Amino acid sequence: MPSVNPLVADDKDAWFEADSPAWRAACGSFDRAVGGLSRLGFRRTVRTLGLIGRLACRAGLQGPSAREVLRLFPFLSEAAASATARCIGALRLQNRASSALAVGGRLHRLSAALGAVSGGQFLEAATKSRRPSLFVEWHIGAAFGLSAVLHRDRLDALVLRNLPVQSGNDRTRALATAVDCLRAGRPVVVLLDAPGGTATRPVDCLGRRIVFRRGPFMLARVTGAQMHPVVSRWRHDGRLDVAIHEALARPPSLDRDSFEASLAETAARWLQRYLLANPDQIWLFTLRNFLAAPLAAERPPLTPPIPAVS
Amino acid sequence: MTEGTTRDVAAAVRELLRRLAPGACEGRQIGDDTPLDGRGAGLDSVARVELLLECEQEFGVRLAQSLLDEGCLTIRRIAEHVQRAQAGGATAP
Repeated sequence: MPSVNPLVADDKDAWFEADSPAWRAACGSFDRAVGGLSRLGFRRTVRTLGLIGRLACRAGLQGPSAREVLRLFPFLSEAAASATARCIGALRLQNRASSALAVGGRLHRLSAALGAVSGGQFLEAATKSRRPSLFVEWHIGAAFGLSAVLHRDRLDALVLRNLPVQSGNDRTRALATAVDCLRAGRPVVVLLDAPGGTATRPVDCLGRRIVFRRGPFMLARVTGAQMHPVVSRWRHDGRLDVAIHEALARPPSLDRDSFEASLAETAARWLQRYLLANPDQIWLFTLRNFLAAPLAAERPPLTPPIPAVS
Repeated sequence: MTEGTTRDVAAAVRELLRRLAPGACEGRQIGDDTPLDGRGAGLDSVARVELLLECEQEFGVRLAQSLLDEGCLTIRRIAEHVQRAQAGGATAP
């Protein structure tokens, strides 16, 4: 049985294979129901799912437990860890709602729920100046926020995860397409902590030794693209805020390995800083994957940069 | 590099492969028709793209996506595409 941990190196992609047919069927039914409900009001659906997620977490029907949260974020108090766990439970169901719309080709409904979009100038600059730009998403926060922005603003970007990938050759073709797009000045959206695969780069994050996909770093190196982290989050009113951040600092010209290792460490530091400030934005399975990853060789004490969830 | 025979180009591609992924060539017999993916040389998707980009730079050609549409990559297929691109005048970006 292959590892299903996307943050741990594996010899093959086991992401979708890990789901049982029963689970996939259940998710399909849920997505159809959400798709139907969202016609009545997507924001209301998101709010309701958030409430259900919190209650299910409180009742112990779904994870995470406060203990799991404390294992990754030991600086939280018991009460803050419980509150964080409930937020993560809410996030899980809310993200299924946005996934249902995005995968079902109903991005316009997700776009209609957009709230504040900060850092839009980076996206605009990338599309206007044709400067090679990578927009990096993670398995944290609200899902498909950037896709909603791209759809709303009718911006032309290649979203790598939308390309069909069923074989290794497809992955090679997808990366080659991304190189072509970046060279032509078309922005590319990538997931950095995406599932398994062999092309990975190990990094330390939150005291664990996790892996990022190597592809985005190779793309940044060969095309000179800037890497902008992007995160989205659900508001209490069911709106979706999207934040496009300043580009990560590019390492000076180094050899291939040193450049990619340095940029990967910068990205890991960015992710760590974000999650320390927003532990409630980590996805349930991302949390569990962190916990399943080996401990980092060096583990400086973790402290939040700003007051944590109360 | 100027236009050469398929054999010359294949030798140059093999050298690029050796530089790019020394581990893949070590202790392995990589023939011209050995798949470069996990079934043969063991290059992952990123390394395969890097090899194609290196070839584009080395030979000053653009390797069409069709190279990836025709099945698994081998040294011979890359060499043939390089020659075809050189003959057709498809230059690297």
